[in-house]
Amino acid sequence: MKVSELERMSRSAVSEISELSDAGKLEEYRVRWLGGKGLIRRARAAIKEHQGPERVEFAKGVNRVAEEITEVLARAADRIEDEATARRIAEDWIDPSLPATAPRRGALHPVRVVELRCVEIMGRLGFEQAEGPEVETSYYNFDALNIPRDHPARDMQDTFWVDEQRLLRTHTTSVQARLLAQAEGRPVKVVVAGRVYRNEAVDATHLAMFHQLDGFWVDQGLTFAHLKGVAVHLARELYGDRRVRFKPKSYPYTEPSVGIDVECGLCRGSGCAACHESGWVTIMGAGMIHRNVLKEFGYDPDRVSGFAFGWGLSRMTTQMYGLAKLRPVYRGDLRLLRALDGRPALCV
Amino acid sequence: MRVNLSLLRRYRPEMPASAEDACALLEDLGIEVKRLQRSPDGDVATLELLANRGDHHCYVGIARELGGRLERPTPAPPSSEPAPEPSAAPAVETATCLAFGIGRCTLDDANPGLLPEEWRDALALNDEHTGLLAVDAANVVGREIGQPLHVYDADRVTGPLRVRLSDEGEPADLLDSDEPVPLPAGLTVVADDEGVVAVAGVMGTRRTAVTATTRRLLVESGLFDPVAVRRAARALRRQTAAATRFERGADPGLVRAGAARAVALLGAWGALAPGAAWTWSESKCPTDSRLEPREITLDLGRLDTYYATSFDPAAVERRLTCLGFRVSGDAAPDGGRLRVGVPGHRLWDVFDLECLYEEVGRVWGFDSFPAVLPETGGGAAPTARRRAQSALERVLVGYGFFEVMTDGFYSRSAHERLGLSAGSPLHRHVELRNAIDRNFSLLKNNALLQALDVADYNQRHSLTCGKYFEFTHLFEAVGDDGHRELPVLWGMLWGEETYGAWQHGGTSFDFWYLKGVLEEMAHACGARVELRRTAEQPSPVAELLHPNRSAHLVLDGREIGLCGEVHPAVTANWKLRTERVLYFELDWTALVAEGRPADAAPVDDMPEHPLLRRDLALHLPAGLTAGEVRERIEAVSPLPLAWAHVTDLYESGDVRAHTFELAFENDNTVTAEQVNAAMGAITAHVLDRFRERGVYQR
Repeated sequence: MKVSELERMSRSAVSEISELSDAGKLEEYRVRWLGGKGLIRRARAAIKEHQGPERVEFAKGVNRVAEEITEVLARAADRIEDEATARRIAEDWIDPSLPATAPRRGALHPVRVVELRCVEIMGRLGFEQAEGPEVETSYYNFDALNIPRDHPARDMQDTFWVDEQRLLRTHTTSVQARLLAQAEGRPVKVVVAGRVYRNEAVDATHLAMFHQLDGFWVDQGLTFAHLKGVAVHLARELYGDRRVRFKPKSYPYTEPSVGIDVECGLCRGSGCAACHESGWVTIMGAGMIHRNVLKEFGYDPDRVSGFAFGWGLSRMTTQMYGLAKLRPVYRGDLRLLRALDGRPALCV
Repeated sequence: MRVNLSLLRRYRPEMPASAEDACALLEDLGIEVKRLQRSPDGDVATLELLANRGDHHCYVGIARELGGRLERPTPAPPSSEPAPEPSAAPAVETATCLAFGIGRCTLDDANPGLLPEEWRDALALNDEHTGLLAVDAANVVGREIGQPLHVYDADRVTGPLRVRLSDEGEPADLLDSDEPVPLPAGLTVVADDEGVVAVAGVMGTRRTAVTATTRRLLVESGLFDPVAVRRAARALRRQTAAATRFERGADPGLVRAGAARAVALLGAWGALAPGAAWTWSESKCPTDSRLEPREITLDLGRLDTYYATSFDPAAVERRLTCLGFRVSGDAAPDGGRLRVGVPGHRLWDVFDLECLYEEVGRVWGFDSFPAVLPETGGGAAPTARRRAQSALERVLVGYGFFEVMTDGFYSRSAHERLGLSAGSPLHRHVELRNAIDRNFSLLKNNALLQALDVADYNQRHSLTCGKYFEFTHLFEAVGDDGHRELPVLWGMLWGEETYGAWQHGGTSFDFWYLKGVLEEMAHACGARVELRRTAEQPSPVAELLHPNRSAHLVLDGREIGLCGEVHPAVTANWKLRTERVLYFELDWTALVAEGRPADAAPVDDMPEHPLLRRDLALHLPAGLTAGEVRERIEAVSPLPLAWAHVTDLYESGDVRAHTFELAFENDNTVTAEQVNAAMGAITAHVLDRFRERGVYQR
């Protein structure tokens, strides 16, 4: 084989390779030129057939062709790969508006979301979560909490009675009584959340079963100033940096008793429909635990004091989610539960 | 209570001029203003009074409360001194009457007198205006100073009055009733020789009622035991203004003063006969320790600590005095002690030191004190129970379940919908004896009923897929009159899940999907549950599930719940649109790590070499579980097995072909021949063991 012939074939091949668009064809060219039995290998084998300066020239010529073919093949490979990628990208057009295929998460009930938020805040203050039975004795639900038989408060909490002694708890404060009974005079610092029951007609805003949360702390040296400190902290954690006010109230198991309001988040205190034009929203009831309650469980009220606070979780949920009615939340309407999931709380 | 603010201002002239400011001040004192109505006749505030403050139910009481804040005393309205009464006072024969007296006066024949317009309007605000001046005068006294009175036509009273307890069935022709009302035994009543003339503290009767022709008037003024009045009002279902006042405890100092004020008003309004004196006779009543004078010592230093502020002792003394307390003692500028005497109008709600703290807090305003956040420590760690609940919630929410909340009760007719067999223990319930609505009559002993109700509600609203759960309590009747409260986590799923599969059509939930969810729940709590077919071990709830597609959940040998498809006969009662409904319930507290032995087994290193896998395809007839076969495979394998899993199930006609994938452990010395020999031995054993039950190799 002469170099000139190899070079002629090479020129022809370079021209053809530059027009290739198929990786398979390119591979055929690579094999024909650079493969084990390819033209370059055979030309190199033929070097030994030449002698002297001619041999040198022949070898240089073969190497030149080999380099050129190698370079042309590499360039063509890159070009074909780029073209293939471009084609694939063009073909890979998708419609991002089609539905996702990853399964969607569910959600906790809005009341539970609010409960967790409250319990977490109180947990940081050292309140440990506790629970108690829903079928309660009249002692823990009423008598031990300074609500004797025929006390008007018993009527205010219309009660479901199982028999003379057992009832469905009307407030989570009954758990407070149970825990104080178990504490044997030791300090107690607990938060309780759960279902409570009222024997009253159901309408859009009243349910026979709803949720409450109670917190209480019994220890030496606790004062009303401490109650106020904790209550203000809770109000700010739950509702943000808004004005808080304390109003006198009357609860049988606390004295002094107060109701705690926060400035309406919707009108910022100027009055709107959500706050009944008052500019304030009541969020919790609180007070210093009544000495009769402390004495009932063996605490010396002149040495040990305590405070308690609580609120309707269900009501707080409607406030926070901007719901006009309470009942739909308890209906198990999966459409509503999905709609509320992840919705930012309004905190009115 | 509805109050005319103009009239109130007459008793408390220092009240803020604007109605809004006046209402704000009332609210700050604990007298909630539910509504403020403007009118040319004066602004009217609808008040919600504190439950323990009977003394707030009148204009003078509210004025006195305002006086505490404004440091202004509240004088009593003028009254008329009675002449001595020669006749005997009514006999009081019951301890429920704490004080009682009768005033006698005569109305003018010629001049009926005139109720001032302001009082006519004020009474009308609370539906107390009758048009009979003597009755209106009594009602004015009730609203003005807070002493409920009752007036009788003396000429219609037969014989002397007595205060006694009623007999069972004794009739009383109450003022608001056309027919005599039979009284229960034990109510405190005022009676003459003919019978009951009033249920004490609640309502009078028609027979002795004042009319337009009444001339000789008896004015009854008393003090009755709050609980007795409350019982009477409840028994008669009549919550009158007098009952509301007496239930909260009235002022013994107003018994005579109330009658005197009524006569003074009648005189002022021109209704009394000229020259006729009025008389007063007071009965002797049993002594009651609750009415004895009471004094509380107030340590001003402790008061400062209590509210984290520094009170001016003189101001404390002044304000308490304006509230009606009798204050004496050594109130020095730097503290000291005050002796505080409780006035008659506060005998029923001021007993101890905290009561005085409350007085001080209210008249100063709780908002005026600093808030002190106490040292709270580092915060409480969640309990094992809470951690388990959170873990279970995370798993369920992750699988797309929504938490729902259902009632703790249902009706008997709703329960019948389950279609339980006659002998089912689920027929027994803890029952509520006074439920206002029959839908609340039974405490739930199962959660399936309400789970199906949720399915029904959502399917009727066009949902095609439902996954939901609830942490709740079930109530199991125990013995004749006992109960057990059981914590339960239940979940239900039905329909097709399109997410994850919409390109290929929806995927229906099935038993194995549910099984996977339950295994993940157990795993999240560090536990492992086994499934045992319910057909082999029936239970009350299992009766409501598909007998061939349900299983008990077993943890450490103990049944903690069950899962499976709801029985088609049960779902048919709800007419659900989905063919299959999956349900589970379990005692989730069994999964709490605290209650189980800690699993601290060391973890082996992961194998360095790939496992050696082989497949074994077997036909297993219905009735034989893959679990039984897998157990045998694992038991007889000559080589250590990492696992034996079913990786495919092909069902066609009678054929149920299972592909078991066997993964042999490999330490790089196991040869292909050894694996093949092991497979041969396993296959031979399984076929030999189960051939009679119809197993063959495919």
